[in-house]
Amino acid sequence: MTPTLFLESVHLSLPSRSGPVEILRGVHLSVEAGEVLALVGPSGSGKSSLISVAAGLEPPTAGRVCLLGEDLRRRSEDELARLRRGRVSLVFQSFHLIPTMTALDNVRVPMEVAGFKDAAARARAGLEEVGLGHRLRHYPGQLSGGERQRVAVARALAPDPQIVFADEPTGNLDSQTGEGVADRLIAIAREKGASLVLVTHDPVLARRGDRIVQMKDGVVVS
Amino acid sequence: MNLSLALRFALRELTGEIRHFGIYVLSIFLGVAAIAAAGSLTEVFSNGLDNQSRYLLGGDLRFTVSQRRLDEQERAFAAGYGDIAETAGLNVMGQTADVRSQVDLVGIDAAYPLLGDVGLDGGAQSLSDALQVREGRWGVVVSQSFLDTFDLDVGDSVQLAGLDVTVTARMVSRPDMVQAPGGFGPEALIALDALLEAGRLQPGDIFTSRVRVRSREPLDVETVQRAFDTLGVEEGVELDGRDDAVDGLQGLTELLNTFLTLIGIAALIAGGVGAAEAARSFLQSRTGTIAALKALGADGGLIRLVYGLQLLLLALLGGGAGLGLGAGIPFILDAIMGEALRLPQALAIYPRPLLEALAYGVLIAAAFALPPLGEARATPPAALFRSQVDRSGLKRAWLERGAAVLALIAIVALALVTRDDPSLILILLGATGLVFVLFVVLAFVLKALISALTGLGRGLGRLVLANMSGPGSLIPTLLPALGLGLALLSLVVTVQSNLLRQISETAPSQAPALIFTQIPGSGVEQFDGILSEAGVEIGDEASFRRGAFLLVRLTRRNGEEIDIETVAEAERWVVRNEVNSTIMAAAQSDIQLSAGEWWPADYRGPLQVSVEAEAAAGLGVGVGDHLGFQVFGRQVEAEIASLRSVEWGQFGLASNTAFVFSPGMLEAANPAHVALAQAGAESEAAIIQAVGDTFPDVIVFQTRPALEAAAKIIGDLSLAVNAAAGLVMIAGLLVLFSLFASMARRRAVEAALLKTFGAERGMVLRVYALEFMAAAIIAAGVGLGLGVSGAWWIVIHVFEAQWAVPVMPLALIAGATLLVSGLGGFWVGQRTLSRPAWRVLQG
Repeated sequence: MTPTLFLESVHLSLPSRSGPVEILRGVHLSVEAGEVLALVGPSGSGKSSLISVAAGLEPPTAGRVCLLGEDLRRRSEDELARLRRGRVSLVFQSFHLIPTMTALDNVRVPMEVAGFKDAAARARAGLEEVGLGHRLRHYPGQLSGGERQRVAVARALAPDPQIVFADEPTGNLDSQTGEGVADRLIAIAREKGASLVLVTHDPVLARRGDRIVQMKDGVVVS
Repeated sequence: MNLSLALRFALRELTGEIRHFGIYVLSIFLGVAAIAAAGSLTEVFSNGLDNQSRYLLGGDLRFTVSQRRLDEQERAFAAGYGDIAETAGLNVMGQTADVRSQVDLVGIDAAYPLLGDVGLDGGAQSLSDALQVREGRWGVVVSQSFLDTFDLDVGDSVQLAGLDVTVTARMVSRPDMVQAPGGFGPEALIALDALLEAGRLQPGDIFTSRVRVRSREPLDVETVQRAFDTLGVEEGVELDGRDDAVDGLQGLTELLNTFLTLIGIAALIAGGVGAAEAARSFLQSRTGTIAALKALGADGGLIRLVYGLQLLLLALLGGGAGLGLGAGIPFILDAIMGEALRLPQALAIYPRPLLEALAYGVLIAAAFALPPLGEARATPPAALFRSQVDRSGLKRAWLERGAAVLALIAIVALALVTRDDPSLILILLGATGLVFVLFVVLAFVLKALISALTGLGRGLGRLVLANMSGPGSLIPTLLPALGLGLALLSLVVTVQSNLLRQISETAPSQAPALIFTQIPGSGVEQFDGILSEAGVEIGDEASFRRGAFLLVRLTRRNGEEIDIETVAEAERWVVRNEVNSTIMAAAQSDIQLSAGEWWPADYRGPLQVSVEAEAAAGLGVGVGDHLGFQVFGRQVEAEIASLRSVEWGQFGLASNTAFVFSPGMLEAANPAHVALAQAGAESEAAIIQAVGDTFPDVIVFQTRPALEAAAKIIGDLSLAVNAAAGLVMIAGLLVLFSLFASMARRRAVEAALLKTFGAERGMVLRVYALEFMAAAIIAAGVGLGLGVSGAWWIVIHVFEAQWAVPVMPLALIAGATLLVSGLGGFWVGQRTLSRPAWRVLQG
């Protein structure tokens, strides 16, 4: 069976004033369909960069990335965008909701970009699923941190994606709120059969994954 | 202590952050520069006129009388005040072998001019030399337009007023005229003796005689007038002093000042929105610093002082630069336009208008920047621990909001204190303020409306609608700033376009092509025959009208001497001067009675008069009242039989006069006639020639050259006026550009998110281009709508001209706005997409 995500000898170096910086140095990784993978490691080990390369947001300097069975090499930015539509979702540490839109609209937008006919109904259901059925018309500025991250979770999972990348989704929340958000994220991902790549510093959260991958200095160490 | 500390804090922060204030400083710079330029230009021209007023009058006193010269007693009275010089102006026909045309001929005596010199070129060196008789011909000096009309050179001969004369020099300037000689038609100076010798200055002839006095000591015109009145001389002598000579021109400079000040204030208001945005955005970025300062013990007063000082210093920076430009504008104009700028100038730097401009700039900056300052001052220290600032601080900013209102009141007070007649500027200020408030209210209504529509949109269209209606929408900023600029520009462009059209298209088609005056009463049938032979359809009222011509002076109302103060100001012209009038039996087709009845065609009873309705209202008379006139040297009484509505400038004898008299009594004096004729441009010369062969003294005016000259002047002016109005547009565009920049910053995360959702570049670019264009369409629609409505009112009610919407220029303004906005939106998209999505999202 083809893995949902497959990385082979991936390198990433970024320019800086003092010369190129090697962020990823030959990463090998495979994520199976429906698998919840926790990516752990110290700050600067390359976890977030790995997600950006794996999601097709940053081209690797060398190596091969296969996402949803598609080789990402020599793909244009627009081709990669079309590949992500409705099938790849991201959750960020700092939520990144669109401040000019209500919670409902924020959840609706990715599905509209993907051309879902039932975007509104799915968005409403998604928000109800994360317990925000009463906050549909609220703008991000009117929501608490935990509520904002729950909207972000609903936005990521409402399209029924095949894979979700979550970058420290509880990093900006207190432990109790963070736990609640993580519960919902993992539960809904499992329920929908989506693969989940979860970057976290929290060992408790990491242990809830099917597998833990440790990174250090740009390589997978275990 | 507090102040020095605040100043230190303010300067420390400002040096690092000054680049964020580009729009704030530029907005104040533009507005202050416009107001300073307006005030400086007014002072330069007004002082120039004051300095030159003696020259423009041609002396210290001027006596003017029509159809006669001053008699011995009057001349002796004038000479009692100083040296005198006499001129006589009349319309005559000039004739060469090929050309016959009307000429403004001025006879001058040896003493003219009392002040300054007549500038001559290309012939005789002195005026007295130029006007002497040589080989039996009088010499004349003429304007360039005279040489052009008759196709002559200096040294050639021409017949003027029945005299054979030689052109001895070209006249380039006259000390008593602002504009170049011959601005509206051919003009010539001749010796007064030549006109007397030709018998052209007989009592009753149509000419204007002027005697100027150069006094040895300062004169008070009113004292002289009282002394003159005691002479008990014949009525009709008008006495003017130096101020009267420049009254009209001073009014013009005052109007120029009002217009440019309005432009400056409108630019400040339009730019003020940008300034407020810039201030708010900067102060919001300072939330952390303010909270930290408060946590460390700084009170609200210190915060207010620190950031208030920053905003004041920046306002002074922009205002100071604006003053530099504004004060320099008269010098720049003088350097660029030089001789073409004919108004007398007194070039200098005038502090008063500069201080006034700076005051306007600082007050408007205060009005716009104080409310955001209040919000910043109210920031709680707890903001250090929360990413979301508590907006309830807004409610506590009452002090700053009150101060902003006081600043607005101070602007009105400033206008009241600094203007001699503040009513016009207050009306304009009020209208501008009202339009601005209208835009602000409209912006909120539109936001709510779009918000309601957002649910109906689909896909990216809904994203556009959501961005336009949600927090951070560009509508509340863009609509007032751009809308105000568009409203003012479209108003000015529309009014000008209508006036130009009136002069270049409507007037030539409605005004008579040829006007004949001084047709002898005994030769009218022969005159009609000549015109008929020359191809004029004299039986058709649309092509030909002829009637008696009377110069009458209105003196009495219902038996009482008229006090001019009791006449409405707009209608005083019917009392102040002699006015043209005519006699008419049957009512011609252009006559529209608004009251009373027309007399029977064969009426021979006591004298009756038909009065133009607005003049009657101004005089406070109606049908059945009596008016007394001086005509042909005698006093006559006429009963008002009817009132007429007149559309001035139309083709018709009654359409150009306030008074039309009944036939009978006045016809007995066998007055000269006047005739109007429509003719094709190609046949005008032949008609003038044919009339001149039989009636050499009949004066023919061609309206075409005068209308062309007027159209050219308005055309030349429009560029300058449009450029001035365009300044408000620039202020609006500045705000637009600042919005582009801030949106590019604010939307970076949104664009990156859209990419993660699978949106292609084209989609993101379309979203932003559409968002800006949609906002610009709203601003353009409302701005142009308001501007055109205002223009309609001005064209119909102020200029009483025909109305048409200038589709092309307005479409150009709207199109350019949409294009700039669309391209700006596209640029915002490009900027947001320029960094990899992940790096943007990772901060």
